[in-house]
Amino acid sequence: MELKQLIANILKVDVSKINGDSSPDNLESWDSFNSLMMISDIEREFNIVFTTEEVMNVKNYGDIEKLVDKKVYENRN
Amino acid sequence: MEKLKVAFLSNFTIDSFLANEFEKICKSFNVPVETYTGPYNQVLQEIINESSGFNRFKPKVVFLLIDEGLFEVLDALKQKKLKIVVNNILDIDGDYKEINSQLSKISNSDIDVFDINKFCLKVGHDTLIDKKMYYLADMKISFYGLRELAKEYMYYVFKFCNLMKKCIILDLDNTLWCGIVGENEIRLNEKENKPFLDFQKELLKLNKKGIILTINSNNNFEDSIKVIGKEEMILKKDNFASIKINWNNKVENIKEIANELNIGLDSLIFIDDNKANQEMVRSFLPEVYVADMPEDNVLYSDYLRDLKFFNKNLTKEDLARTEMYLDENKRNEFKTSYKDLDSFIEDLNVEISFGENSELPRVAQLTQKTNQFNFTTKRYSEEDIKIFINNGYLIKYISVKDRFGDYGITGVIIIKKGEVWEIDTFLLSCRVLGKKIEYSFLKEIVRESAGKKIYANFNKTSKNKPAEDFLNKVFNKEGNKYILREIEKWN
Repeated sequence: MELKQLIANILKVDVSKINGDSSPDNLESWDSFNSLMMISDIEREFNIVFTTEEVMNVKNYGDIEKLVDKKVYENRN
Repeated sequence: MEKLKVAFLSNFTIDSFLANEFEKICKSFNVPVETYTGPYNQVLQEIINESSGFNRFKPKVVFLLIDEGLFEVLDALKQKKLKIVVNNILDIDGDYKEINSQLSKISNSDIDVFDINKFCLKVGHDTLIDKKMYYLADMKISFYGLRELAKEYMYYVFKFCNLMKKCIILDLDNTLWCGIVGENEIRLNEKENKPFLDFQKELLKLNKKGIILTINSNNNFEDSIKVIGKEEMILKKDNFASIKINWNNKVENIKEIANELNIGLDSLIFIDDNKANQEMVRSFLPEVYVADMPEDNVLYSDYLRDLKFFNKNLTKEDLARTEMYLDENKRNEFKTSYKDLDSFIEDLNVEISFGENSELPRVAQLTQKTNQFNFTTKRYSEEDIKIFINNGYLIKYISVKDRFGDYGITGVIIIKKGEVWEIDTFLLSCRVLGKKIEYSFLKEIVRESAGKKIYANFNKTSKNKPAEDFLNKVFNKEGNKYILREIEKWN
């Protein structure tokens, strides 16, 4: 599944509502608990593992996207 | 069906995630539920505070995921009338042996202990626990773990809603063995049959736990029976309480099996590798649970082991069940050669004996399971029965034997003793119906009452016609109660 779609499903919003600036500050359904759900689902979906520090530094959707790209790239090499 | 109200209490983070997953799975089995998740780490407060969310919700069942102060919580829950399912403590290093063994000892008809250690063996420690989630959010079980846990919890849902299955109806060709009798040679010794023999082993385990096995196959009887008779077969002819190998419609065969064994369609599981047969049974007999068999037969035994429909705490009577049905078959053959029922019963050499205020697990189980001959269909736990005894009620039970077999404890009467005697519960297992035992049982009560008036309560249900028929033969309606006639006036 595409990353954006995965996030939208968890937040129960339309995928068009998600952009780089999307965060718990501007999306009502995004709370700390489903942030964790996202992390867990992304790890399974993309077969990657984040460190705790990486997770704590995520501030918005843009950060997630960058992080996933980096991890998937690392996995390939 | 009434909605089952289920609460989850935990001293670590589960949020509403577990409850949501649980609801999804219940829905897939068409079991209506309503859930409540207590706030994080406020378990005792929730239980003690009368106006808490938990108490206002009034759950029927509570799942406890607690790894600290467990016994205190169980103690606080004692007063509440609900079913408790408690996870034991995950014990990788053997530090909690004592607590876990103490826990396993307190399990009774109201408290079930879910073994999270066994569960951990299945899902794997590193998937059950996500250390990151633990340190970030005090989640002691990962999302994946909670999702799998919700599936395991279905066992209790089936148990508490009386949805447990009693009987498995099995196809033969490509279900119990590889190949089709008459088309292929059935080579039980070959590698191709190993998964099927393992599947048979799982079935035998269930059979030993009291689950009835039956056969429903479309083939030639003589040819298939020959294969069943082969030495390499794990399941033998005598493991099956009913065998239908013919060219009749499988739906009709299932109806006949249910009739023969005198059990409801909703107690049956149908196992057949053929998708068309599965679909046919699903659409014509929606009460029957049709196993969604995995495509790959190497997964059959795992699939069966993962089904949550089978009761693990069985009584003597459950365990003797297949034998009893085999006896019943003999008995039915015998019945046909008699002209009238009375001469048949006379020749059965029925022996009955009575007991009182003991055998509480079996007594409670009978109130839970009996539908047909049951005056009030009131379901009681062991604890309820104890309270009855403490309040001076009489709990009378009957054991039945005849020349074909021993049925064990198969009937219960609960009486409120006083100026008059009032029957709160009168039930007989359907296995001993048709032997006029209900008359003998009631006569024993009349004898003990020493001339007191005997009243009965009765609640009509969709299933208790046999009880109603008997009620009208020996009781007269008086207001909303029923009074027992003198013995000479019984029909």
